[in-house]
Amino acid sequence: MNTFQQQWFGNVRGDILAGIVVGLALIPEALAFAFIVGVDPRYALYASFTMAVLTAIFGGRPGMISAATGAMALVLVSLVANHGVEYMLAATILTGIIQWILGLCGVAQLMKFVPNSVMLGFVNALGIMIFMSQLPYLIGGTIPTYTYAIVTLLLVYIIPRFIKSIPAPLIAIILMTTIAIWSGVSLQTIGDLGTMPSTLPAFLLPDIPLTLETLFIILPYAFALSIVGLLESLLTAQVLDEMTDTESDKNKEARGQGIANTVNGFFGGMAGCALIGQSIINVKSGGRGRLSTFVSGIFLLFLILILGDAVARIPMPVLVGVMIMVSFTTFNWGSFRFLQRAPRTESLVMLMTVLIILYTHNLAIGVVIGVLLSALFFVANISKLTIERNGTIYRIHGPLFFASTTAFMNEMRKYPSDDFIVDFQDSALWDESAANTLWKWVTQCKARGVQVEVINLNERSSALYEKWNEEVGK
Amino acid sequence: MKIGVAMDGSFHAERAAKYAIELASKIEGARVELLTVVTYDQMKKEHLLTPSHGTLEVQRKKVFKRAVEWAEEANVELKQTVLKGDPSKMIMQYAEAVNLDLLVIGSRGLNALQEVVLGSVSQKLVKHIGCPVTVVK
Repeated sequence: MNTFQQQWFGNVRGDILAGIVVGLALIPEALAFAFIVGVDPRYALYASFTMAVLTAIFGGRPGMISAATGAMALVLVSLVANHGVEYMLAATILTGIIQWILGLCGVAQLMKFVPNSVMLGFVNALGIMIFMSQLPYLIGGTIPTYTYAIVTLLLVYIIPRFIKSIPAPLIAIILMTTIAIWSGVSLQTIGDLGTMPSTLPAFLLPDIPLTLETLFIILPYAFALSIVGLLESLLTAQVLDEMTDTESDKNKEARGQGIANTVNGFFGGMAGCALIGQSIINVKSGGRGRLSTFVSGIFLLFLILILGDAVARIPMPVLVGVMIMVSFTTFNWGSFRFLQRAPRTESLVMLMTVLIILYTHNLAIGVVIGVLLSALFFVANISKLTIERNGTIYRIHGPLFFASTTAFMNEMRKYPSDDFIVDFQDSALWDESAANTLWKWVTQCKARGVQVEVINLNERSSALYEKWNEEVGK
Repeated sequence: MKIGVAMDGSFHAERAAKYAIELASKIEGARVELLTVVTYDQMKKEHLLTPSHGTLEVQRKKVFKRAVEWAEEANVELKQTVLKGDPSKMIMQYAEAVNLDLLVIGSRGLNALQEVVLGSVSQKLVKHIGCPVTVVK
C-alpha cells in the first residue's frame, strides 16, 4: 500500500463496492448527527460528502472513512444553540486550520500520552451521550413512536444475522419507512425538521462579524473539536492499521483532517472526523484503498440528490432506533471486565473521564483531565522509592526526581550515621531537585563527619550532579 | 502434507486438533497448521482493552495452547496462524493460499445458539472449501 497507484487503484472492484455500501450506511448517521446539533440535515450530509472525498485525497490512512460524526456533533451543540449555525461553520474552518498545524507539528506522537483508560472513557462517554441525545425524541412520545423506534432497534440487530452485504440500518429504515407510509401513521419525519439539499455544496463565507470577539467565541470550540476529531481519527487509524496489517502516516492524517475540515466549513458542512464504525464496515465490505472512501462520499451525495424526497419521509423514531444501536456499538462493553481486571488507578481514570465528560458535556475537557490524571497517577506510582541496606552499602531502588526526593530524605534519616556508600545502580537522578537533594544530603553528612561515597551514577545522573556541585561551589 | 485445524477456543476445536495431530504423527513429513480467526468487531473491542500489541498477539494464540502441548508430545511439526476477518472466508482463503491438503474442524463452535441462528462456520467450510474436510464429532 505504498505507491499512489496502489493506494488508489490497488483494489478497484472491492473499493467501489465497499464505497457504495459505506455511502449508504453514512446517510442515516449523518441525518441523526444533524439533529443532535439541531441544524438542517444538509449541514451533515454536505460535511460527510466533503470529509470523505477530501480525506480520501489528503488523508494518511487509505480506506478510513471520515464524515460528520457524533463526537463532533456533541461538541457543536452548545455553539449552535447559543450563537447559530454561521458560527458553527466558522468554527469548523478554524478547527481545520488548527488540525493542519498540529499535523505539521507532529501531533501523532502525542497520541502515546493518551492511555487506553482515557480512550475507553472517551468512547464510553461518547456512547452514553449519543444515547442520551436520542431520549428527548422518546420521552413523552406516543405509542407509535416507541413501537417504531423499538422495532427498528430490533431489526438492526436481527438483520445482520441473515443479510450481511447490505448495511442493516439501511434495510431497517427502508422497511420501516415503507410501513409508515402505507399505514399512514402520523410520525414526525426528517422532512419536518429541515429541508433536504437539492444542489451540490457551494463555496460560501460564513456570515459572521470578523472581530476578535467572534474569534474568542469560536476558538474554544475549535480547540475542542480539534482534539476530539484527531483523537477519534487517530484511534480509528490505529484500529484499521491492525485490521489490515498495514502502516499509516498519522501526521499526514491529521493534516488531511485539517484540510478537509477547512474546506468543509467553507462549503457549508459541520465539522467531522473519522468514523470508527463506518471504517470497519468499509474494511468488512472489502474496501482497502483511497478509492473506497472517495466513492462513499460521491455515492452519498448522489443518493441524497436523487432520493432527497424519499429520505425526507423517514420517520424520526426509526432514526432514533438506528442511533440507539450506534450508541450501543460505540460503548465498549468490555469496559466492565476492564474495571475488574485493570489496576485501580486505570479504572479510576476511565471512570473519571466518563464522569467529567458527562458532567461538562465536553469530550475534550474529559480527555485532557483524564490524561493529566493518569500522568499524576503515573508519577505517584513511580515515585515510590525503597532503600535496600547491605552492610554499609545502601542501594536505592526507584528513580530519584522531584516527587521522590522527600521519600529519599525520610528514608535516609532512619539510618545510623556511620560511614557508608550510596549505590545508584538501580536508580538515577532525573532532575535538578534530585541532584540538589543528593548534594544536600552528602553535604549534611560531611558536616557531621560522616563519610559518604556515591557510586554507580549513570552518565546523565553524574552530569546533573556535577553541574549542581559546580554551581553551588561557585 | 499440510493438515489445517480451525480453532476457536472451544472444546470441539480442541478435539479436532487432537485428531489432526494424531493423524499427522502417523504420516511422514506431515505438518499441522493451527488456524484461528479474529473478527473485525472483536479487534475493535480488544484494541482499547489490551495494554499493547504484543499482549494481543499472545492472547490470540491462547486458543492453540493445548494443541501445541499435544504436538510437542507427539513430535509433530506445527505452525500457528492468526487470521483477521470473517472466519469461514479467511480460512478458505488461507487454505487456498498455502494449499492445505486437509482441513480438520470441530462439529460446532463456541456457541450452540450460533449454530441455529447463523449457520455455523463449520457448515460453511464443509460446503465451500476447496480441500478435503474432516469433521470431528
